[in-house]
Amino acid sequence: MNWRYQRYQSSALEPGSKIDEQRTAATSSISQLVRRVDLFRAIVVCGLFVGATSTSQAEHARIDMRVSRQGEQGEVVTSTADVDTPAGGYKDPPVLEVKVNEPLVLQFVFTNTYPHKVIEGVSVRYYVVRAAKLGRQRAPSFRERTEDDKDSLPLLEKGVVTRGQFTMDFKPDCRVGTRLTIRLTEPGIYIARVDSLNTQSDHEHFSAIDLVAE
Amino acid sequence: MKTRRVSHLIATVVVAVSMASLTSAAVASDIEISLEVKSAKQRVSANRTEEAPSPQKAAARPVFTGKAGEDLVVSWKVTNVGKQDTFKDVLIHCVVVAEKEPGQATVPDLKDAVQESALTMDFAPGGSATGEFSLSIDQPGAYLVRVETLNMRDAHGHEHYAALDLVRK
Repeated sequence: MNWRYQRYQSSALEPGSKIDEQRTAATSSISQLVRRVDLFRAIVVCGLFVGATSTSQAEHARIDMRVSRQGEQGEVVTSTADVDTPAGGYKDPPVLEVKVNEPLVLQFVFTNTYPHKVIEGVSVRYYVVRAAKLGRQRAPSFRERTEDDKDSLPLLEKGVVTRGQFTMDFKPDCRVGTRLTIRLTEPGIYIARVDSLNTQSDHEHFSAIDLVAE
Repeated sequence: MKTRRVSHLIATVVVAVSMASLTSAAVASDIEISLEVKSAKQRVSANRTEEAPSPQKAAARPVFTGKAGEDLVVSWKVTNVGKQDTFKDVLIHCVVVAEKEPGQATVPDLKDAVQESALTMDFAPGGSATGEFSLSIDQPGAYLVRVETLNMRDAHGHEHYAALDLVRK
């Protein structure tokens, strides 16, 4: 490489000479190559960044969640995994319009896809609660129920239709799921949500479906 | 001669005790399941872990009698109380399903279960999993609340379960 550089340097090149044309052509092709390399690098860097981001935030869990109406039409709305943080995730939850007091089936399967180790003491919660609006929003905060005050604090606080929680050790590919029937007894907006807690990560996973009862 | 008889007797006793302890170790349950249903006014627990299959008849199930519109909370805990074995890929299955009458011997068809949940986990010695969920029963009648292990029989010889009856008036 060095000898080629010296050869170009040692030539007393006049503008318009054959060698100068060759040099110009070579420089042009090199600069094109450099541009291509820069573009290639940029793509690779972007790809790695996006890949790293999605790996760190989206590939630890798979959630298959659905809420279905039990009437003649049997309408079904499904939702997959999102991440928290950011609070409320990246995706707007799908919306299912339902009638007050009609039976609805809520079902989910939460699969741990983190392949590297067992994570102890992970909780998976599900709940259906009243919401002020549709769309992405923070997870509702429930009062912490310790072993001492579990008996005095009700599981269903005001605005909570149903609620459940499992605490377990998460091994790779382990699953947890539930199927239950609920009824919304008052018109309004509700959010059905499944989420993880204590996964020893900088984010948790959830899935949500908005319900509008009329 | 007398010494030989005594040593023979001791050996027999030792063998018998060893056999007895081995047998009880094999039969003793390594998995304990506790199950509880509670409302604002009462609670009923099932702390007896049954085995299936088992030559012994299962004990009568506790009965929780509730009223219409009552918010109930069901909670359970499954623990590997053994000190040696890790049970791999155990499926914990919990179901609330209508039954014909309290104490029904057979498990009803789960097709129309009110609530059903499951999780999979490896249970190391001392390892446990817990579940808790709210429950509201619309229709009066008798319901079976049952928590059971699945996928243990091949390696362990039997499954485990705890159950109680819920009567909604």
